[in-house]
Amino acid sequence: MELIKLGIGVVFVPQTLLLIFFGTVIGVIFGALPGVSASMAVVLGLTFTYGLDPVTSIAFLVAVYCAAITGGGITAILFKIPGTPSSAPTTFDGHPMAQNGQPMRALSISLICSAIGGIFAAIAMFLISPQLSKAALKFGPSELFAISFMGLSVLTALDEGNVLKTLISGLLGLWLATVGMDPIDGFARFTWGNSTLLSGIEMIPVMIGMFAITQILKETRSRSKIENLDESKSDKKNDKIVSVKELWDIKGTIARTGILGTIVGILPGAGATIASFLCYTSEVKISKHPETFGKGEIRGIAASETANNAATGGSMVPLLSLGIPGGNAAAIMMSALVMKGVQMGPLLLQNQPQYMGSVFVSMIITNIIMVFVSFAVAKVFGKILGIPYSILGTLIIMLAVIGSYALQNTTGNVVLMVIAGIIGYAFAEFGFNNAALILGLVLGTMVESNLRRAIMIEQGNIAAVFTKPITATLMVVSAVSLLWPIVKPMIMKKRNAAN
Amino acid sequence: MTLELLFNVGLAVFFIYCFFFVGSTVPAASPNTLGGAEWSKILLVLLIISLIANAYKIARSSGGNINFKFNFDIKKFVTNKMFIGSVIMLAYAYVLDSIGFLTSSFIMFLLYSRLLGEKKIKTLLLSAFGCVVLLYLIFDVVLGIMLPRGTGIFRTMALFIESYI
Repeated sequence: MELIKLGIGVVFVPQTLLLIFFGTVIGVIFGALPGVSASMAVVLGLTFTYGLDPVTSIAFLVAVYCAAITGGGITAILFKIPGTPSSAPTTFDGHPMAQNGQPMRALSISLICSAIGGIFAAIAMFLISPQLSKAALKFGPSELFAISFMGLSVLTALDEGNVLKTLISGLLGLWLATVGMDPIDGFARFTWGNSTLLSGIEMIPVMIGMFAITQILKETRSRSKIENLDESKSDKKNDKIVSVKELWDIKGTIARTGILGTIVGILPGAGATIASFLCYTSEVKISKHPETFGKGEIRGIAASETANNAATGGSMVPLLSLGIPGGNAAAIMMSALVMKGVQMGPLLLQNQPQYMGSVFVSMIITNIIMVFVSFAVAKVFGKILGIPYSILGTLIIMLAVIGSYALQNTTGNVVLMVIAGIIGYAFAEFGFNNAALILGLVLGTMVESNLRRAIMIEQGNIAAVFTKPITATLMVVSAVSLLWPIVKPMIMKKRNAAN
Repeated sequence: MTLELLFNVGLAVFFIYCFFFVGSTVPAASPNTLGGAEWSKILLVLLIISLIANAYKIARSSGGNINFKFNFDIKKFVTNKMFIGSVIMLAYAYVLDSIGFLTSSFIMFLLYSRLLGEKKIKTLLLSAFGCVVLLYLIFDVVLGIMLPRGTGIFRTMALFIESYI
């Protein structure tokens, strides 16, 4: 209670509230712009904090971070281009729902569930922060490998009708993650003497290429999904903001994904992207009607958006209480605060409790303001749909180019993005799964480095790595999850034959 | 069908090459550890097996009626909108550094919008100019992202335009 009072006292000041509002606006806009990741939004937000005191700075940066994750869902729904990697699962159901003539409904589900996920995570932090931090600290490389492998186990569920090709795509993503410098020994792999490849394949340009450029190339060849949305705008009868009753009907999904998203967010390294993929797939698996997912299912949007926002809250726990950044954005915030003299780690709660309090209060305020700001931004993005595709498509290419270029101020990333887009197009034409490839690329380094560290710690005893209680449990769950879509058709076939 | 089969076989051959390549370029791992080359090899073996299985599946589903004779029409291929679009984007990415963001984006906008079906010259010119300037203002002026200015005459021209923006 003392923490809440401290936080309210610090945040409920006109200047801080105004900055939280401003941070939310730019966060949503940055998150919604394809190619401007949440990390990039936080970096860009840093420039505004140089003249601010540490408490206001952290409130502002938290607002930018939370809002950017939510903003990513806007373009995921309207254009099938996730603004942030964690919004990728939102495209699976959000875009089909928008195509079915209900873009406003899809957006309202996404935004409200994001806010619920964020607020839930903030409250959970207030209640269980010290205990959860302790639990996360106990996780060693073997448990972290099991967690990231669990993230990979969603692969076979991404396209159950095409398991083999989805697996190939995921493996290809894992292989691409090995290009460049070995994360443990520092040897060059698959660089063929090219110094640019030493730093590895940049994830963001590949993601922009595979999602944005591939889509544009498809539209160039045969139009047009975005134009379908335009036609559907006339279907205003069904395109309403989601009702309280509809939200109540999916309370189970929101609660489950809120809890799971928060837990995943707390684990260092396992951020919003893993949370959204994991929660989406688990909802598909426990659903009585899994066939409705991928076709505009309300639970699909709710699962992805609740989870990624819950994970942002979760990622703040190890950052503030242990001094361990949960991801890129948290690392940027940490460096900004250390620069301002804030002592991150276990002593923060004892010596400077106002930081912990202000983070949680600003998270709650941000998540409330975010819904209104996001609706306003979404309406602007919605109006973009009225623009002819000949203009809009080209505009998206330019945004994709700027997004890739701004990452390191190099055109090498732009070339990589275009090549990834062309390869993504060929892949899609042959029935491979680009989302699975991206998932493999995102998790590749984490899976490899944790597995190798775990084996090193156990001095080569692989059995010892996998028989640790938490690791073993997570691996069994992952194996079942990975194999179930393969085994299920066989069982069904046998049953049908028996009947 | 044939093209898909060749794509799978081609990928499998490439990954077989990668398997031996990584083994020859990365030093062997120390005892009791999993080396960088070993991890890559595990992934490559899984990839090769999966690709061969997929190729077999394709061949089996065709019932043995795979025709390896191609009637490749080069004219049809290069006039394909997807091919032209890819060329425009690749060219845009490669010339971005040398002719700068403003000029290259303006030209790319005109070409790609035309490819996507915009026929009115006035709309093309106005939208290209408007979009390029708008994005330049947001990202370069407001957000401080240094977009490429180009070299030589293009740099001089970009600086001249920027002085008015």
